[in-house]
Order: sequence, then C-alpha cells, then structure tokens
Amino acid sequence: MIIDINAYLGNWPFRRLPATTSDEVVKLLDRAGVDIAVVSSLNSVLYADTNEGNLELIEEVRNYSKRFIPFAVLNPKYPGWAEDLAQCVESGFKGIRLYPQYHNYLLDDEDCLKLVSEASELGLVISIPVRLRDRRGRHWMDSARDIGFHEIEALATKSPHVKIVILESRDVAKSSLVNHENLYFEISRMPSVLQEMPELIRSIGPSRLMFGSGVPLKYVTPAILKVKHLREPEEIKERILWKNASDLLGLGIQENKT
Amino acid sequence: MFRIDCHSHVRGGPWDIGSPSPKWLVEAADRLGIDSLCCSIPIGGRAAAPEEFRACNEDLLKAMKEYPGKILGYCFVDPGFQKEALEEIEKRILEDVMIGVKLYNQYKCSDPVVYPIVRKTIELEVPILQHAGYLTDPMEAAKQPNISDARDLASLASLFPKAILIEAHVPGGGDWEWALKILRNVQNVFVDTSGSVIDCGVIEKAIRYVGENRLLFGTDLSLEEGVGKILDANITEEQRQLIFGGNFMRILKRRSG
Repeated sequence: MIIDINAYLGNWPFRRLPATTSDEVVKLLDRAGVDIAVVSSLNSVLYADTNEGNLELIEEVRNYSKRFIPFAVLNPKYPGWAEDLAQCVESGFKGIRLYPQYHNYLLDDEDCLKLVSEASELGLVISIPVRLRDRRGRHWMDSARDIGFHEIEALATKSPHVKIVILESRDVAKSSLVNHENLYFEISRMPSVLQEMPELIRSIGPSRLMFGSGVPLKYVTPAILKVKHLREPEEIKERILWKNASDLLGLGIQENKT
Repeated sequence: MFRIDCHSHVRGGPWDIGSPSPKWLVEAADRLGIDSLCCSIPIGGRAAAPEEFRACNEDLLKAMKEYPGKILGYCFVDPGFQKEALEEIEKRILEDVMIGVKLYNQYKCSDPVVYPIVRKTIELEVPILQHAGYLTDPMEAAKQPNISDARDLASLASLFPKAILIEAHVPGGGDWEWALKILRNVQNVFVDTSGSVIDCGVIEKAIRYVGENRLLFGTDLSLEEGVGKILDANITEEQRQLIFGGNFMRILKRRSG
C-alpha cells in the first residue's frame, strides 16, 4: 500500500505536463504502484478565485473515489473563503493546501491563522508546499518565493494544535522545525541513501514522515526509491509509505493489502 | 542493465561542498544499482590555482585506487592556468587513467581561454564534462556570473566538431527546456541527466529533442532522483539501456580504441 500525500490534477501554466486529468494521473500512479493520492487543483494556484479550481477538481475525481482524496486550495486574503471552506467540507474535501507564495501573504498573517484554525476545527488536514518548482529555472512570470523555515515555524507556534503537512520539505533534520510536534514532513526532496531521511528518523522517529511525490509535476519513482532503499525495518517503511497518512487523514486502513 | 553515473563527486580538495567520502558514496551507489561513478573534485566560484587543482586530482586518484573500476575520474583544471592545466590533463589521462576533464565556472566554456584545453581533449579522445545551467532567476544567476549555458556549449561545439562535450546536469536547476532547444542539432554535445530536478517528462522531452543516443545518466549526488527519473520515464528498455550506460561506454571506447 502506498498513499501519496503530494499529488495534483490540472494544468501548470508554465510547462506542459504529461498528465493533467484524473485518467492520465491514475495511469502514472498505476505505473509506479501508488494506491491512493491526495490531490489538489493546480489550476487553483493561479486562479484569482481559487474555489473555481476546487469545483473543477471535485468533478474530476468523482469517478475515482477510491484513488483520490481531494484537498481544497483556499486563499485567506480573498473574499468568501469561509463560505468556500464550508462548501468544500460538504463536497467531501479532506484537507486544504495553502500557497502563500502565490497568493501574496505570510503564513502567520491573521487571516491565514483564522483559516487554518477553522479548517482544523472542521477536521481538515492542512498542507503547505514549500515550492512547486525549482526557482533556478523559473518562468520569468513565476516569481513565487520558496517558503522559509521561519515562516513555517511562526505558523506552527501560533497554531500549536493544528496538524500541518509540509510538502517538498528538505534540510529539516538539523532545523528547529523538528521540535514542533504538529508538523509533518513529506519526503520527496530528502536525500535518503546519502542521509537526511535516516537522520530525521533518528531525530524525531518515523511518525511524522509521509510519502509524497509531487506527481504530475515530478516523477514518482525517485520518492519510492527513497523509502525502498532506507536501511530501516519494514514497519518504519510502511509507516512512511501509508500508515502515517492513513492515520492523519482518518482513513481507517488497517492492513497492507499486499 | 549496466549503470554508469557520468557525473558524481567525492570528498577532497580545498572546496568542501559536503561531498561524501569514497566509501559512503560507493555504498550508497551500490544500493541503487549504480555500477560505476565518474567523479571529479572541482573548485567553484573563484580561480583554482595549479597547486589546488593538483590536490583535488590527487585526492580523486586515491579514491580511484581505493575503488578500482567503481570510481572513475575526471581531471579538474582551471583553464586560466594554461600551461599547468595542459600538463595536469596529460599526466592524469595518460599516467593515472582518468577518463575525462571537468571544467567548472571559472570561465564560460565559449571563452577562448578554454580552447587549448579542448584541443588537448580532442588529441587524447576524452570528454569534457562542463558545469552548466541556464539560470533564469536573477539572484541565482548572480551567484555564478561565469556559468556556461547551452549557447556556450553549442558555440564551442561548432568550433571543435571533434570535441566530446557533455553539458552537465541539464535538469539540474536551470531552464532545461531552453537548453534542449539549443542543443537539438548540436551533434557533439551530450546531455547529462543529473541533478535534483525531476520534472515529470524531462527525459521523454530530452529524447524528443536530442535523441536517446546523446543522453547520459548522471546523479550529481542526487542519487534517487538520478536513477528514479530514468526508471520512471515512459521510454523503451532499449532507450533506458543507452541512457544508463550504453552511450557512456561508447564515449569511453573512443579512447581505449
């Protein structure tokens, strides 16, 4: 069993992606052996009204209720997010993704803290991608910053009871982020055979690490190799591959199907 | 399927960028099924004096002797020290059996100061692995004012059609689509697939633009990314074999005859 906490549907305006629809992304997941993917709308990242992308997404995943878990993209600086949040819960979204780097606010902005708090009270998981592409080769119109540790730490400190998954995280093992027990870390950018992931496991244990790939922005197999080649007991690998995500999302999956 | 990493590094020399020790690197590579690692120990961002690049190559030679056949070596030089650089290349290729030359960002490779180095590699029938990237972010570009990009390699390739040039880590942080379009018809530039960027579709598009015969598998120490992007790409097994090792074997055979 593999649950991918970091996947997307939709178009990315700066590059043609090999898969954009649910049918196409499912093919990529099947090829890599991923069973369930947490997806949000890529379109939403640059729509002024992010909720339009959420509406598209919920239609797109309708035929794949066992494969996709939808997360909503909300912008706390745009009018109507509270109504959108309520609608998203009603529509079956299980979490939200925030893009402060594209929506022009800081994670400890008062409106952001309010959104995070309300979403958490409604039982949603909060996730935040540090980035969506490597800045070194960015399109000239894509000037979004990478989210800094100080910003994540400010949010984690001010929202200590909210569980937050940091996607595309790297170099966290030696940072103070590890001290915040409400932070979870997705592993697709962490070196594994050259050490960061084993170091992080030694430092905080395996319970706050989650498998994710970034598909279809990124290939899936590199992230799978990172877990497969860990010199850790199978139980720890299973936690990272699916159990931790299952617990956080309340999926109630008990046993590995394989 | 034989896997030769065309772009790797081991610890050594005066520029510590956190490269692993030879033992650590080899153990990590074994876990990912990498059979040989073509390593260098460069110095970046400033001039590298002859005694410094000699020290880098000496440390690399120790690693090669510790892991014969597993660690292969590129001789690193600073082209600004022409006489010493040419002597060093000749010694390392002919006596120490290094397999090529590594150039970093002391000069753009289209700079005439590099030409004597290129002539020497043509004479010795060895490749040049050229550090490169088209950095579109101004802050990133400012950190490496003399970094080469695909235009520089294409320019050099047209002047020296017999040179064997490798553009390092095309998916390594810069705009790789830009690089592929420039290199489309530049037959003597190979594309090294190493680097941390694993944009879905990069390998498939690289094949569409430069063909499977000019792609070389590499990691630049992003090991899972390097192997994983080749395994994941929607390509034929024959294409995968060429990229993983077939193409680089062809380059190595040019010198061994």
